[in-house]
Amino acid sequence: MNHGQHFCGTSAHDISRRVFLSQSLAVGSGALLGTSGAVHALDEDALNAALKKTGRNVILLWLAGGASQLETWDPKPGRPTGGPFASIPTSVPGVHISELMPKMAKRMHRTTLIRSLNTGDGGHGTGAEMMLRGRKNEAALQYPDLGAIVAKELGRADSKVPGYVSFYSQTEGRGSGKLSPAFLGARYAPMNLDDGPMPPNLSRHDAITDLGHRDRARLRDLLSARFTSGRETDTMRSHSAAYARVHGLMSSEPLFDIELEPQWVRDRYGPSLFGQQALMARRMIEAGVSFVRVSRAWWDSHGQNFETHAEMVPELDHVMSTLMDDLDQRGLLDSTLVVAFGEFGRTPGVNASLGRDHFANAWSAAMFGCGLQGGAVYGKTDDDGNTVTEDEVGAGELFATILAAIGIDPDKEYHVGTRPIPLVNPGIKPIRSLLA
Amino acid sequence: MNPVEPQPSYSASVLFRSGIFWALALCLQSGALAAEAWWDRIDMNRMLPADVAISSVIDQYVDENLSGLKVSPAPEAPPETRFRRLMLDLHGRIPTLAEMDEFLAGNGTRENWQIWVDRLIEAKGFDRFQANELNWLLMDGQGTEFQKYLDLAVSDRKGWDEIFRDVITGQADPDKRPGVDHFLRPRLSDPDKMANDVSIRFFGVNISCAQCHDHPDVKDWTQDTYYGMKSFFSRTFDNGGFIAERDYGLVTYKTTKNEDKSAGLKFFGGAALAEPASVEPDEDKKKAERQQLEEFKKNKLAPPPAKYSRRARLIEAGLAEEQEHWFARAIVNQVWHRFFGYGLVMPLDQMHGENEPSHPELMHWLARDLAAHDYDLTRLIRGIVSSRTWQRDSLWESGDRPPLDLFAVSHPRPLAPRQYAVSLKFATSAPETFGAEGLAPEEVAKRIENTERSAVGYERWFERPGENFNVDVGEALFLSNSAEVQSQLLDGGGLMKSLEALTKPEERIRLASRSILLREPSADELSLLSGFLAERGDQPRDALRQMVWAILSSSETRFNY
Repeated sequence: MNHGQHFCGTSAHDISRRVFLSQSLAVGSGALLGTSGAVHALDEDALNAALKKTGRNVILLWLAGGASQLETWDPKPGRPTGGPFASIPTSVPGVHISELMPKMAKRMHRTTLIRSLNTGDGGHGTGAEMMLRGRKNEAALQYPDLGAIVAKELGRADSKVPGYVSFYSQTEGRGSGKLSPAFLGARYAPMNLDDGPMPPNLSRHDAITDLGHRDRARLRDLLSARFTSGRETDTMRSHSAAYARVHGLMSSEPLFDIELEPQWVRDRYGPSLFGQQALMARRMIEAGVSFVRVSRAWWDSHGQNFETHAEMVPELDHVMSTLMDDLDQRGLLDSTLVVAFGEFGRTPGVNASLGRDHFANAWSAAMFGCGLQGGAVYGKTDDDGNTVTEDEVGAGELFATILAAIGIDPDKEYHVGTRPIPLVNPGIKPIRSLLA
Repeated sequence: MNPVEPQPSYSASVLFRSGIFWALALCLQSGALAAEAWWDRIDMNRMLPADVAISSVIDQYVDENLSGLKVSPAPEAPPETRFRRLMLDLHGRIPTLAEMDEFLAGNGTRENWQIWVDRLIEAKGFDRFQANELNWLLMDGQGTEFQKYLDLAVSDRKGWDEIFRDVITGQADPDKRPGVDHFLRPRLSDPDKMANDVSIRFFGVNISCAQCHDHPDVKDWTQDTYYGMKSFFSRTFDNGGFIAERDYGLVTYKTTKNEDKSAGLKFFGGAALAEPASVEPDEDKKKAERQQLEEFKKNKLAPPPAKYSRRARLIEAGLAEEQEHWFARAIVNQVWHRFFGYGLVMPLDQMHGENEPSHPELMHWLARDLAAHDYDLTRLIRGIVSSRTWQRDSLWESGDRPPLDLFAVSHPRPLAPRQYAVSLKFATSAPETFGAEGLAPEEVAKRIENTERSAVGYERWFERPGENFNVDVGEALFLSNSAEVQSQLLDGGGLMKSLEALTKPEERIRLASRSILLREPSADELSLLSGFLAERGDQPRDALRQMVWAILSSSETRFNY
């Protein structure tokens, strides 16, 4: 593995590197991970201007299996449906969340809650498919998922880092709600890091030198150009483009090496896989990856709901709050949107196994960062959490709100053949009051 | 379970949310004035006689269109290109060096081409690849069990009608129809998907548009057509792993005027189909039925077949003489698309009466011919690859490339995962593996099959080409850095050893080019590659390996051109 390029951990350098990165990419420089010398030559104003131009990004904390809204964002203490946990006040007067989330409670003024999701699909596969696309696939038309759209809209065509990365390390639920760029094409497919943090085939094989690797790539291009002349198609162009990205991607190898983060930063996120992957996500966002999904499975607590949530919610609380602080300290919070939800919530009614079942009619999502009103709470459920009583939100509205928050027009259209495909279905609007 | 799911009422907001709205938008957009279907407008006097050879029919209609437009087509492709194309399309791999040499040693006449076509179609490699392709057509390549059925159906030379009958009936038989139920099975829980899939894959028609409204202009697409199609499957269900069908149950739906309607059986554009009246049983009878079905489940037995099968009625309707144009045209278009990279009708799932083919008479003729010859796909394939149209060059150097639907020049197609994976393996094998002197033909066939099988693992790195296909960077990384490519193809492939056994750079370049690209290097390639090797004279082995890699990963290797 190539450790030759240093990935600096301090925030000042990171901001600088980011600026450098965007500039070096813009001019097509071969260097990916910056040298500080080039950066310090920039004065403060140039730095700020460049920062403003840097892309917006999304981290999706995918709560696979369906986390309970009652043990997180919409507690109902003292009610028959409330369960054993109390609620606690937050930094936003009048807003209470579960006592399992004390750290996020302190940061509620920077967090945005939707408590009125009614998405209507309580199936793992179909619910996940819908939540990741903002709508259901049609029988004869698959829609691209959120990450693919963000990668296409916000990523740079010549980017040397992948546009879209997904972590899903647990096996439960991995097969449901598969990510897909659909008609956007393989260019916007996620790089799946399910089996380890290092993408496959990113490192140069020992049997060849770096020089040899580059030499043969040039020879390949020369031979290919001879062939494509007089018969070039769009697919052929994409073939050449894929090879043109190889060396850039290979130089992003340090990006995937968490050992390059200082120990104290790693300690902040905690030893859990979820925490370490959230740190990886921050690292990638910083280097220009447009969308990272970090999945945490398996929230599907049909039995022993309270034990499950007593274990998993504090981890979520810790990871989310650390991510918020870290992004903030690195100046990335204004350009990064973090969203946390899964395929559905859980039933207010507690079943005979002390579990909660699938429930898509009145549940919650949480977000913070780029483009949002911190401290806003949207929608209400009734006293027992059975129904939405105010400001119902569907999967489409949530999707549109996410897009709008990062500056993508939800009404933009793609075309499949002659058919116009808007990013969200017609009539679906973002929730304006949540947007900054 | 209620045998008929209550249909949701499609209010405007549900329409929007379900994403169906845009089907409506498409329909409105593509709408022309209501007119008779294109097949009703065909001048039968212009139809070529039924006994003309398929290849001649193709050439005559395509050439006639070209001369009308004053476009001169590309010349015939060089023999090496044509033979590579033939092997890729019939056997899913590039030829071995020995096969290419044998082909080139022939006299290059039309008769000689025909001998090769027949020989390749008779070989087992043809069956293997055709079954694989049909699996993609019907199952998106996902059906491992279903593949067993297709393997047998193709090697038994079943007609496409017979395959349709087997698949829709869905009764597996370990000897005659292993795994045939695996087409219906994954679709059992969703009759909408089932109806759509069958419509698209067997009839080339995407009717999802008509789920919510009558098509404003295309007379073939109405709401009752959609629900009429869905009705063929609405009584089919899973019972403990067995495909079962009830004798009763109607599909109900809401019209755009918000009226409740119940659907009758209806096949695209046709009249409602008569069927025995069904009686909805009372609750007691339903309860008894449920108990009975539970018993079958418990005993792992197939429930008795329905007295009247709606799926059987679909088979009858789909293959009925007055309807056969849908069925035959759809598969003709699919096969044509596979061999030319572009359909006679595009898109492939819009084969309705308003969407005229680029060559209507040719489409009509081919569909009629297929139906008249037991839906023998091999006959159609033989005809296509024998045509001059299919054997054209892909190179077009003067002026704008003609549109794809003229078939004036061969359209380079990205290889399917199977084709590419297997071809990489053949390209890097030692030439003597398949061509050593005195090797028995049976031994060669065995080695070919083994080599094909050894390449299956690479397939997962390549995506199946579809519309607007982009090559994924994961593929380029795999070719660039994977241990498999390094150790199995470059170091362990056999070709490297053969190259090292040669001494002169020119000989090495020629062998590499002939093994991988199946052609002699051009003069400028020879000088480019000689220069490359000479500059790295201090590390000849590495230089050779890099050259092989560069040819192997080049665009030429990636495409069927």
